[in-house]
Amino acid sequence: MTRLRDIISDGIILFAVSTAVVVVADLGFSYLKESGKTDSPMVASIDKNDLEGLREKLAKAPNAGAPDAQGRTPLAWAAYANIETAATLAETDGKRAAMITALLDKGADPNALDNDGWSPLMWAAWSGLTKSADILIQRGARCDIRDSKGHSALALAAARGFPEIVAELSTQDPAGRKSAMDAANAALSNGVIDEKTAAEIFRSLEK
Amino acid sequence: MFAFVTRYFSEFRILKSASRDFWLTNGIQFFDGLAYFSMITVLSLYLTTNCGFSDVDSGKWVGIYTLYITAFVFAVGSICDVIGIKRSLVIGISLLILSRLGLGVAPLFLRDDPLQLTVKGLIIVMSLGTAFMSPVIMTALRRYTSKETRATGFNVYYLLMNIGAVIANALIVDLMRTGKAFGLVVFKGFGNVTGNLVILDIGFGAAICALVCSLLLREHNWAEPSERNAVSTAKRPLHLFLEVWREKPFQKLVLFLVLTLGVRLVFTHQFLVMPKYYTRMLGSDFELGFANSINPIIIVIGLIVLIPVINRFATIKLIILGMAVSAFSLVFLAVPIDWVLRLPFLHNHEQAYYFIIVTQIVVFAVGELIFSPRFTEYIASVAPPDKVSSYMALSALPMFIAKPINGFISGILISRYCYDGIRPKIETGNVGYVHSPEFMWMIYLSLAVLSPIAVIALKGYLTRGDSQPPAPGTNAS
Repeated sequence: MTRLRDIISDGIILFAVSTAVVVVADLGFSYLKESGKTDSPMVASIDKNDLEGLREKLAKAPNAGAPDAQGRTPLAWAAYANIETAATLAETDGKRAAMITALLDKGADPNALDNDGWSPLMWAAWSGLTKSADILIQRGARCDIRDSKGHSALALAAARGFPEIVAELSTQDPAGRKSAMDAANAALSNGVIDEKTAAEIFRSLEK
Repeated sequence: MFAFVTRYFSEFRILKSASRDFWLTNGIQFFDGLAYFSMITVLSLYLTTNCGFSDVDSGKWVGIYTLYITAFVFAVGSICDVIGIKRSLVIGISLLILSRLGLGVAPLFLRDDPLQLTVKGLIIVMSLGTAFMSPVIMTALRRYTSKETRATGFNVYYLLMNIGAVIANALIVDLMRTGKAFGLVVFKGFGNVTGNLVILDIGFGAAICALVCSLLLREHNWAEPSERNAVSTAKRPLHLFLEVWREKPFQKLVLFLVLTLGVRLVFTHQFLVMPKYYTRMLGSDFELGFANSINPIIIVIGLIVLIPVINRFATIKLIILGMAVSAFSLVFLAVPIDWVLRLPFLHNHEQAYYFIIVTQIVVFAVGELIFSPRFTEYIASVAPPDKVSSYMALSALPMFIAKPINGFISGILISRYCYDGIRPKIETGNVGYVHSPEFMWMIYLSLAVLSPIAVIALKGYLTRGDSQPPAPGTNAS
C-alpha cells in the first residue's frame, strides 16, 4: 500500500513537473508564434467540410471572416483543396460550392487577394473545384487577375489539367489564352497531364 | 541472405515451450501496436482537420502527449510489482479504450472550444494509458519466458511490434483514408476527415481485443520458478536520480544523451512533422501510411540480415556512423526543390517530392538500424556494474525535456514553412527557398548534424574510463 502511495505521489510530481515544462516552453515560444491556418473557427469548419458548422458561425459573425497570416480569407480557403483523386475532388467540390455560396451571401469579397496576389477564383482553378469556380464567376469574381508572377486563373487550371474550368475561363479571359497554352504545353511535357486532357484543354483555348 | 533468414527464424523453435501467457502478451502488444501506430500517424492531422487546432497547437499537443507518456512511464515503471501484471494491463488498456473511443467520436458531437477542451483531456488520459503498456508488457514477457527462451522471446516481441507498425500504417491508415492498400484500390475510403475518426475507432476496437487477451492472462505463472520469490529491487525514479546525479559517469552519460538529441529528435519528426509535410506537398489523399511503413519494413529486414554483420564493430563507431547517416538523410529534404528537378529522371514537382521523401525515409532507416540498437548498449557500458538499471531508467531524461520543445518548434516551423496551401505557391514560383519547406528541413538538418560532430569532438572524453567494454555481438534491440 505504501509503495502504491509512493508511485501515485511520484506520478503527481512528474505530472506537475511536465506541466511546468510545457508552461515554460509555451511562454518561451509565444513570441515566435504566428496565426495558424485554423485559428479562424470558420476555416476549421471549411477544413472539415462542415457546412452546418460554417453557417452557424456565419450567423453569429459580423462579417465573412478576416484574412490569415498568408492573407487568405475564409472564402479563399473554401476555394482550395489539395486532392489528387478525381472522385474525392468532385465530392469535395459539391460541399465547397455550398460553403462558397454561404460566404458570399454573408458579404465575402470574391476578389480579395492574398499576399501573393491570388484571388479565390485562382485557388479554385488550381484546386480543380469546377462548381466552386462557376459560382465565384457568377457572383462577380474577376477572371483577369494576375498574381505576382503573372499567373492567371486560366493558366493555373491549364497547368493542372482541369479542362472544364479552362473551357469556362477561356471565354472570360481571352487575353490569358496564350499563357494558358504555354502552361498546358509545359504540363504535358513534364508529365503532369496526359495527352487526352491536354487535347481537351487545347481545344477550349483555340475556340 | 537466405542463411541469415533461416538462422534468424530457426531460433524461434525454442518458443514451442513458451506458455499461453507469453503469446497472449504478444497479442496484447500486437493489438496495442496496431492502435498506437495508426493513431500516432494521423494525430497531428486529426487535431488540425477534425478538431480545428492551429498548426502550432497541434504540434504542441502531440509534444505534450509524448511528454506525459515519458513522465508517467517514470511513475508507473514499478507498478506491476505492487498491483500485478493483469491489473496493471486492465487499468492501462481501459484508459486507452476510454480515450480512443472519446477521440474517435468527440468531433461528431462537439465543436470549437468544448471539442478542443475534451480532446486535450482525452490526450492526457491516453498518455497515462500508453505509459502503462510498455513497462508492463516488458515485465510480463520477462515473467512468462524462461532464461533459455527470454532472448528469443524479446526478439519475437520486437519483430511483432514492427510488423504491427507496417500493418497499422499501410493497411489501417491508408485503407481508411484513401481506400488503398499498398497502392491497390480496395474501396472508396472514408476520406481525410472521416478517415481519421475511423482510424481512432479501429484503435478502440484493437484496445478491446487487447483487453480480452489481458483478462485471459494468469498472474501467478512464472516460467522461471526461481524468480517467483525474488524480491523486487526496483527503486522509485526520483530516488534513483537523487542517488546518481552527482556521479561522474552519470554526468558523462547525460552529456552524451544531450549531444545526440539532434539526431534522436528526427524520430519524433515522423509523427510531428511528416504527416503534414507529406499531405501538404503531395495532396491530402496521399498514402502517408505507406510512407510510414517503409521504415519498419527496413528495420525488420535489417534486423534479420544486417544486425549480425554490423555487431562486429565497436559501439561508439557504430553510433557515430549511424547518427551521421541519419542526420545526412535530411539533406535530401533540405536541398532546394529546383535543384532536385534538374535530375534527368524527374520532370515535375510531384515526382521530385516523392523522390526526396522516399530517399530520406530509406537512408534514415539505415542509419537508425546502425545506431539505435547500440544506444542502449552504450548506456550499459558507461554505467557502474551495480547501477546499470538506474542509468537505463534515467536515460530518457533529456528526451523528456526535448520532446515538448520539439513539439512547439515543429508547430511553429510548419505554420511558417509548410502551411496548408504552400504547394500551389511552390509550383508557381511564388515561394523562395528561405520561405519553403526545404528551409525548414535545413534548420532540422543543422540541429541533427551537430550530434555526430559533437560526439566525434568529445569521443575521447565520452569513452574514457568505460566501466566495461560492450560484449561483441550483443543486440540491445
